[in-house]
Amino acid sequence: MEVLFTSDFLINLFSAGVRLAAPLLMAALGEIIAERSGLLNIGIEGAILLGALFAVFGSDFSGSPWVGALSAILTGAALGLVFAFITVTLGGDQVVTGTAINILALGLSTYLFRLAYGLEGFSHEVEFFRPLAIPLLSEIPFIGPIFFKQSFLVYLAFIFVPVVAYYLFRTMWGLSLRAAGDHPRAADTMGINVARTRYVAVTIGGMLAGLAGSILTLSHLNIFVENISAGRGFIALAAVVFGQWNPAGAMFSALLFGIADALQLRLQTISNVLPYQLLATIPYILTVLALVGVVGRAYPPKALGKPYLREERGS
Amino acid sequence: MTTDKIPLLEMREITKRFPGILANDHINFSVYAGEIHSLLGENGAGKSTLMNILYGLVAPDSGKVFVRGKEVRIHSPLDAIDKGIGMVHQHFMLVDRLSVVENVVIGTKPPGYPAFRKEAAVKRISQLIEEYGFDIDALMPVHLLSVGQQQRVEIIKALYRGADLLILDEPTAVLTPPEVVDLFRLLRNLRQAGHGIIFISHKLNETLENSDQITVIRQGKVVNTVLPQNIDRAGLASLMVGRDVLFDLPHPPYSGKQHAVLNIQNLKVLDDRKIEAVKDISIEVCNGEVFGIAGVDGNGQSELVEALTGLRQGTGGKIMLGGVEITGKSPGEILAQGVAHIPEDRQVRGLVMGFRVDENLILHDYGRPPFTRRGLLQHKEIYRWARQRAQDFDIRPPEPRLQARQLSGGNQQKVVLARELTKNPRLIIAVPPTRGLDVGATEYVHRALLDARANGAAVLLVSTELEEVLSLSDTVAVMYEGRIVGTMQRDEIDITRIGLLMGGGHVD
Amino acid sequence: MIENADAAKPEPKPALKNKTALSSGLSSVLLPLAAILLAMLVGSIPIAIAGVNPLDAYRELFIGAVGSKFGISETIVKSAPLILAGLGFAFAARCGLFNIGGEGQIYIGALGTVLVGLTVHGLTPWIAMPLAILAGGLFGSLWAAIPGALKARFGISEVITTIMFNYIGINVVAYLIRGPLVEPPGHFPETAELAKATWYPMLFGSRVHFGFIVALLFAALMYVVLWHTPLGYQVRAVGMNPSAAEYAGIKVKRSMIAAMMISGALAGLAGTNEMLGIQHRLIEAFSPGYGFDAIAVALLGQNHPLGIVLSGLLFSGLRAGAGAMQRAVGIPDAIVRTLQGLVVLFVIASAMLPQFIARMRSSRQEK
Repeated sequence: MEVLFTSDFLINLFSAGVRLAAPLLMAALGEIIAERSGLLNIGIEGAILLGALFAVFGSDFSGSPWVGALSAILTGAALGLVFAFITVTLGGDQVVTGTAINILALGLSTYLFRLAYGLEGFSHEVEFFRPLAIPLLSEIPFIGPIFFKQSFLVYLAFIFVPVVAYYLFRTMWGLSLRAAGDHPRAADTMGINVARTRYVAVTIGGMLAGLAGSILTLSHLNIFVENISAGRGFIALAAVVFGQWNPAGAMFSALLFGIADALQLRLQTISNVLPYQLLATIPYILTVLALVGVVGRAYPPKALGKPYLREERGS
Repeated sequence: MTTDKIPLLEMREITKRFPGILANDHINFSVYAGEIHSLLGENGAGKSTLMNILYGLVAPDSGKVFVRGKEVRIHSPLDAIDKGIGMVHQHFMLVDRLSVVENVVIGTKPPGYPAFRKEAAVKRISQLIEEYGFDIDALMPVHLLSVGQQQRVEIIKALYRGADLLILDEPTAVLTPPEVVDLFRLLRNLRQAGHGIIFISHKLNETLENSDQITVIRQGKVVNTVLPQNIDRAGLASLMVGRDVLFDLPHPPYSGKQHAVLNIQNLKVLDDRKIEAVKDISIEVCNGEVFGIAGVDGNGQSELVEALTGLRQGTGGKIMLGGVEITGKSPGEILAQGVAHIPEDRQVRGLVMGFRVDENLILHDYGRPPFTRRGLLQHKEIYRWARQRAQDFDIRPPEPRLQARQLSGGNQQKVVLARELTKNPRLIIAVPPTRGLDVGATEYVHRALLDARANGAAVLLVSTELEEVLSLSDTVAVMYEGRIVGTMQRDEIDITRIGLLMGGGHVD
Repeated sequence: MIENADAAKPEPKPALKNKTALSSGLSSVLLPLAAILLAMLVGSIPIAIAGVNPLDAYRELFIGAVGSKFGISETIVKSAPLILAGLGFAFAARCGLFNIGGEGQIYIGALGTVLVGLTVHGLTPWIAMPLAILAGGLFGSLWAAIPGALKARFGISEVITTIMFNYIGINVVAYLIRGPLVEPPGHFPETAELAKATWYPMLFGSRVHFGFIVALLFAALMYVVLWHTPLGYQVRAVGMNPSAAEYAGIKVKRSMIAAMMISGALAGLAGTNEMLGIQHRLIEAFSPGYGFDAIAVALLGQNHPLGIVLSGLLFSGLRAGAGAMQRAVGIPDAIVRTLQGLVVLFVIASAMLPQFIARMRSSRQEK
């Protein structure tokens, strides 16, 4: 067990933790924007999955991971718009709609993947974002290799933390968005177009979820495998709750889940205390425990999950 | 009153009809800059409709609105804001978790847009706060403010948007007495600065003391516009309540032997905000008696009813039913003691709208014979029973297989009555709905309650409709700010006195 | 779930008022049909992308599903787990709960059945089989009880926890069949064969087995429970209007946990079905996602047992025909799940459409 406490092991563990946290963080940031506007989009699982596939398509087709990332963003945006149309315009149930999008994405990604790469279930490796050591910073002992030898998309996820925080708390747009999620009727009487605000929010949320998918395929594995998202969208949903709907909070919860994931992966290789199938349940158990731990302290946006249909204003 | 010839606002011949009710009937109403003009009337008199028309929330059927002499069309709150009209809703339109400054600037485009320059906004708003003496911290989250402070945020919101005409919809209904004093100090400052203020109220004292003009509305019509110096509280009360109450329902005294069915001792109940809404209430209701509680909405009535029915825990006192304590019991246990409840919001608490009529009729007793035998629901029995109830209570159409949502509001109400009254309850707690029922259906509810009384039930009637309370009750109590401020028997009912009590006036 | 969404808020008045029982009965048939047609229409885009004429693909799909004795028997065989898991989803949905943990409950249910099946050698089928079925239902029910209790006690969203319990359950089973339950000498990740006494008998000299009958029996049973017992009454009341239910003295939290347990039991029986009818031993990945397909089955079937039987047969037909289609025209069978997702989207959209049109109309009138 002493192998656990060598500095190499810890650097390796935390560096992997940061890497594994990135897709959770990216998706969670998008979901924070959507939920702050009042939309509970559990369809981000599907957006991650389909985004991951289209990232591979884009990169494979163009030879550039940048095109891959862009395709993932567009894919996520498209799913976000579908979600917005059904839940905002038609007033459909958000959880059912999100579930439908997840089923659709699972089917469509498997279908298109097999169509493109045959039935064997592996794409060939595509151009991906290679780790990018940041000059000087990456030289800092311990901290450097953990935080500053990551790939572009991982940096991006962490850069988005202050960006999303700025958007939510330091712009008038963010203010309108939060008002729409807490008290849509008040927002409406103040001249805010609640429907448009929610469309924008959930589309941005979809974009970030798509981008989260591209992290899985363009920065972690460099290939697509079926159902590669494996519940990460739902873990990101839990990270939003655990992070109290704040970008910084989501970052800490994503890091927690990422490091737990990295730890169980490492324990699988170095220890025979627990079989790997049981170790693999750790992130999921941790997610449930996180939700239990935050009971009584979690204050979701007040109108979260409720449709706002204008004529309900009544007389 | 100022000497301006052109009123700041003029509403001419405003008419609005809702299904079954003429809410505004050719109403004329003007406000001048620099005056506080009160709009006085009972619940349902049509004040809110008139103001919602002015604020673009409701479209009038006919009539015109002029601002500074120019005709305007107001289709939305945005139009209203644009014309310099600001509204302080009775239920605040504030986003709880945002700070004062955030609530104020929402939806505007301050300098630096789209960035939100908090410090600059705080500065501008602090100026307003200073100028009119609002005395609040612009950076506080709204949910940490007192109700009175929240109300000031609403006023600041309107002023920040350049409103020179302010509508305050029953602003004192939610305030404590010292807060009321503060509010009027503020309103006088605003009047001084040349703003026009429409003050909606049912409270006589404050209206008399603080208005420049008073317009009284009753049943959708303007009764009169008076100057406060030319009228007293009694005169105002009779204008507001109007004609003598018609005792048109047979109301023979109960002939049987009376004993206390419901006995409430020193009950105290908190509301959702943890503020004491019911303050030390003690009442006794006997069999064969209708005990009516009159009062303006929001004086603790709903908390009282929720405590009696087990939906809300009291913080002190005792509730006895037929000598047995039921304080803190669950709704199911209380129902089983022979209590019936006719809730105000039948669609939320009274009925399962997606259930059929017959299913709704067995909501309390579905698990007991004859409706369930050998573990199975007896649909034939339920249907037959429901069919009989439909006949007895004149539910139309008399088809128990229809879903509750397919019935009209009046017939939905009859389903609730049928379920609650058929079991011959000892105590009926009735909060008759004031909206969505036509005259016939309302009368039906009244007759059913009197019939139950004749059969020896005790009835606790809680209503904001004074006429309803007066025509049904053997004993009338007035509730004001969580207390019973006066009780009188049917033969000593004094309408003026009740009007005064409801408005918080002191009676000597 | 769709109809629960508006339980707590006041009814939107217009559109529904003069809807008669007849027209609502009619629309409960027409709307799903329209949703299926629209899904097939949109689903023809990915098929066309593959360079295949969608009509050819759908024809092959149809022939594969019902064009031969083999196709029909495959459709029936695959329908049983879909129906059972679909009933499971629907039971929770009737109580206003969104149990998307069917997949995990299937695996844990299978585990319960297998634990019995491995130990009842020598018993008569009359005892062994009911015991194995009971254990499957019990295990599924206990597995679902945890998210149910977390929801009732702490208000934790069952949407996230049931999904997490999928991954936990599937991994636990994966571990057990490699560890404590592995068949000696342990070369393959699977258990030993179950006692023959627990196996579902085969029917009609085909691959169709007794599990289909079990599924139909449970559909009938669920109908009886929902509409003919106090328990079902209570569950539906809580699902449609929890505050009226609470007021009427119904124990809302207890009803929720009960509904989750029954829901989990039905999903668990889908696992039992695969064990006793097909696999006869516990292996990895024996369910191709029945737990997720079940959501589409239930939603298309409007959470009604009869509707679920029909939509279960429809989706199992798609699944059975998809193999044939894949062989004939080279369209990957994953198109089936794509179609399922589209069907659900269109079911929601078409259910909301009447209200949407009414809203549009009234807002135009105002102008």
